Amino acid sequence: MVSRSDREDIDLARAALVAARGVPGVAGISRGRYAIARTFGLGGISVEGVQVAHEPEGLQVEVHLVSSLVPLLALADAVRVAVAAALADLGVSVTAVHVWIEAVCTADDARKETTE
Amino acid sequence: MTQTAQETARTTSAAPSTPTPARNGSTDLTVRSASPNGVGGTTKIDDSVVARIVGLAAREVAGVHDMTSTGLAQAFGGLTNRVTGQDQMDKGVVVQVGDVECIVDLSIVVDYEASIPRVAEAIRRNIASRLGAMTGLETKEVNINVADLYFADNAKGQVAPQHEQPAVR
Repeated sequence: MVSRSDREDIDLARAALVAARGVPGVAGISRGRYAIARTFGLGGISVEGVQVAHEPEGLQVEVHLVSSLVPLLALADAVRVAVAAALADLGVSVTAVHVWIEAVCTADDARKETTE
Repeated sequence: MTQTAQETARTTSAAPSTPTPARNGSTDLTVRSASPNGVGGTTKIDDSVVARIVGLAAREVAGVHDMTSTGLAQAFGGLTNRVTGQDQMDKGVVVQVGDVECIVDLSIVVDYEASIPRVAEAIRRNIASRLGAMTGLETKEVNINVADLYFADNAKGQVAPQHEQPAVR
């Protein structure tokens, strides 16, 4: 049976992912330390690096990311604002956005990525 | 969701009464904050991120030639990094991260002729500055182990200029 909430979760995760990626200083999205940060949708679709949870106090989103060498707490706040705004555009109110910075990426790393 | 993380989180507005590095279970830096638009949440910074920033900050100091691995775990970590092609910016770095401050242990190779006390002091200042700016962490201690000296080719020549001459005629 197709669950409506499943569809919504994957949509929310996708919107959160796009919003987080668009924040200057975010170098990439991480799957989490044990590659468990993922939102599953129907038909084998999943969004890596974002988890959506419906807690009693409201919707909470977890974003796992790789950062550039920038002030990390300010970056996390910017991600929080961007994700909340993106979800608000979908008509969803989010109570908390948890940002996990799993790695930092130097300019050398970025160059390596582009050449590989 | 992140119940454990939330339990150990601190609020950015309130200073904790006992700012000592915590070393039990989950050790990554976790900061709870409220954004200007009212969206709350926690920020979790992995220990490897802190170690990497420390490694980069130490290498920025003139006189630091390289960092060296310490201990078996670090040696094997370096091996896996070489196999997987990752850089070794956190080589020779061990961090203990608490809620508001951290302790750093470093093992470095210093260029020959550099003043070790001055290099060490510069490392301490740079690490404290970088960690403060990037993570908000205060640096409680930076313990530096100078594991080796690096001799550039010309310096080698100065140290042992007569190695080609026989000791006795």
